[in-house]
Amino acid sequence: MSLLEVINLHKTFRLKTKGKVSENHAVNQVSFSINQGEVFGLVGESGSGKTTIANILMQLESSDSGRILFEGKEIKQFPYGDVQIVFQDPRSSLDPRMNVRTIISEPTQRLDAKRRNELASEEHLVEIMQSVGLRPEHLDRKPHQFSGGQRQRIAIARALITKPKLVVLDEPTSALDISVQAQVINLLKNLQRDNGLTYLFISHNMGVVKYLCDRIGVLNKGVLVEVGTNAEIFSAPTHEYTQKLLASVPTMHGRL
Amino acid sequence: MIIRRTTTMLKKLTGHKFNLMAVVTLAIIFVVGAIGPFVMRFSPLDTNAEKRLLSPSWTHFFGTDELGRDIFTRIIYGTRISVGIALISILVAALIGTFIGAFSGFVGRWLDQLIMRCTDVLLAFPTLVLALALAAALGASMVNAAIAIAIVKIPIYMRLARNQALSISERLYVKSARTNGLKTFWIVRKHIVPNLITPIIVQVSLDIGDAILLIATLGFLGLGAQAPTPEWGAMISTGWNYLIDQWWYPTFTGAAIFITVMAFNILGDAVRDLFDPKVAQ
Amino acid sequence: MSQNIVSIKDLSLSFSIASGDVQILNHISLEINAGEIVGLVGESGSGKSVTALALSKLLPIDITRFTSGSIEVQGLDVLQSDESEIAKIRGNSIGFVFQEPMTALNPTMKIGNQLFHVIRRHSKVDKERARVRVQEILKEVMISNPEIVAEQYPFQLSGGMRQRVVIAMAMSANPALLIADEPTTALDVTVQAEILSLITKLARTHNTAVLLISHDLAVIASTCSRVAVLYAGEVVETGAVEVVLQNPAHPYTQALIRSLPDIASRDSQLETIPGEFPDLRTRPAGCIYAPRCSKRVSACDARPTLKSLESIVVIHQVACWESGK
Repeated sequence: MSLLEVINLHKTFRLKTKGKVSENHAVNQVSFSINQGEVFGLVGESGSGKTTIANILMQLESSDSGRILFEGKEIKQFPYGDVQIVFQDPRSSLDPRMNVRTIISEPTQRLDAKRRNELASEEHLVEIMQSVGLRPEHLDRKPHQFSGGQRQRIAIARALITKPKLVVLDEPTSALDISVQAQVINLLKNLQRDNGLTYLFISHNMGVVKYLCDRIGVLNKGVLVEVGTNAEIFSAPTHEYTQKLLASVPTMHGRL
Repeated sequence: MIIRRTTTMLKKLTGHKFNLMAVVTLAIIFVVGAIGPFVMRFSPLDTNAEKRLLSPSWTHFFGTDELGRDIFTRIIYGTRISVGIALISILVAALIGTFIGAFSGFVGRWLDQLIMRCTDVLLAFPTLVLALALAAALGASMVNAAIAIAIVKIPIYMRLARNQALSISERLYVKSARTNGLKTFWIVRKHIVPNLITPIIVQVSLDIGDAILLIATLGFLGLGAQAPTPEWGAMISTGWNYLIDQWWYPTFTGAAIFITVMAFNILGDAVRDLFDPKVAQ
Repeated sequence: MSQNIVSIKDLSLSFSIASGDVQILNHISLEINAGEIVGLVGESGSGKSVTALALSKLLPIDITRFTSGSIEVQGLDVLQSDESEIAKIRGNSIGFVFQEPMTALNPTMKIGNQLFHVIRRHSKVDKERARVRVQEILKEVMISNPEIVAEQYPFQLSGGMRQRVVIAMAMSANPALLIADEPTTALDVTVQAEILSLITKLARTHNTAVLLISHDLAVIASTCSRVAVLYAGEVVETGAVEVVLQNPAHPYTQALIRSLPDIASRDSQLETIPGEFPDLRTRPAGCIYAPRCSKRVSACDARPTLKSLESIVVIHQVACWESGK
């Protein structure tokens, strides 16, 4: 069952340099779909449009054209709480002036009273904290008292508080140390499995994508050049760019 | 936890002898302003034709003025006016300016441009000139002087808050709040303003001294508190006529202004250094 | 036997900060010879960037205390030399490439101009010759249109191009040592591959000793000949790259490699290292990694030093009581 369908998403940036207007198609007629319960990876380098797509989905930016279908219905805006995002940088994704309790219950603000009372209740907060590997007493602390990996867990807790159907993860482990990255990846994998979540996993780290993602879309300069299953993309990539991308990845066994 | 941080801050503030002197002076001024009037022997308003222009003595520490009023008492009472109005004006200016500026910086686009151009216009005038014009237009009174000063200072806070708000708006926790549908006013109030409060505090502490001087200047020109209210500037306004023969009249009042403004300025510098990341290291 | 360029012996240093003394590096030793690319790998807090900065005394003077050991760069005793002597070798004998090219380049100056000044600073050539040299080194870093690039400002170039320019600047005085601290971390994967092969090529043609610092094991694996693994300011394992990464002997190195998703099976969990990074204000008397180690024994209460493993062809040293048996 397709949870999210993106059809012909398009966004152009117009730049005026020296009188001439140049167009940059940041997202160029991109279409893909994500199935319920799967981990869909979106890979690409800088300028590929992956961050722009995430921003459009999260309503941080507008698109020029295109349709989005959520659970089969065309929508302009996701119902509050159904789609959440985890950002890359654990240092600036949490308000340094707030305590953890306020931070992770913030997404419940726009929900209706009944859901809000249930999801922002103390029991649910404690439950969420434990599910991301943190302790209830951490609720009263401030972000600066935590390490990078712990802060990312807090960001994940915040994303899960509304029991979302889709979680967008924008480079969630890129800013973490290797040993911490492994812990967070395990956590994300377990949470997905235990809660039946669907992930849109955006990353440039091929190793993590290969480990986590069921299907992968490859972006190059705004164009979705290839979409395939994990096996297809990594064992038998068909598009030239995908092949070049995979060939550039340094491996532990020396140059490919 | 809060107590520990306050004492650390106080220690840093009073580290240098200079700062310590300023803090002590300010503490004295505050105490004087608050309870002074309750322990004064004389009233600041009591005129006494027989006691005109007496030189300083044990009864009248700073002498008396041309209406026989005790100058020392008037200075003490005047503390409340000068320091009180200064604080209120600056705090009001900071409150209004910060929220408008933060809102402007977060919302951006044409509204931000409009608000900032208005700010530019106000900032183009020299502070004193603008304050004079406003006070004169509003009519000479204590309240109007306070309003004039607040209006003159608001643009500074608007600009300060707006510039900070520009970068804070790009932070991921603000983006996260936006993705959750939180309203603009909520985000400005809960996320933006609390995170730019530090430079605002520094600016406030630097501005108080300036405000005291502004009030005294307005008072000197007859645009502030009116007679017989014992406002320092107004006292000097009548007092300086008597400078040659009755030197005590304007001198002690002038000294009061000088000491108070200096103390606040030193405190302002100390607060700024306290929060400056480079100096703090 | 190629010439020894860098010789760090038993170096320890600490930072004095408000909350106390923090021992950042603890008795580390490292050698780099001409033409070698040596990798320094570790996570944040391991001390790898501090090591790079220590080589040319770029650490903040008022809080840094060197508590033991020595650093020699081309025979010059760095710790005993004063600032003016060290200033001479910076840029001349030691070239730097840092992670973020935008902070190494002056955004208000044209590329060619910046290179021109660097060249003139380090060698006594006349202006004409210096201009020619600018074109030469831009070509050497594989910039295909050097005349155009020389006239551009940093913001007009892509991240990869900027990093090439930074490398050109670092190599302009033909230094004996090139220190590259996370040179490709901020770059795209495809660009990263090009920059790494550029560094390899330059090291070979100029016989430059290279210290390549990274948290990315794969980057180290593909570029370096030798590697030292840093944990909490100590070298826990060192040796030829194939041996250390293929057959790691230290439990930390082993755990680090096993926690990478690159070769893990999709059905299994990734291995993680239990516990937390140690507080460097109170170093234990024993092995620094012991609290988190799965192979801990009683011997680990005493600090192990690097010892060589039985190896015929290549050098492999590890600081651990339990390995090599």
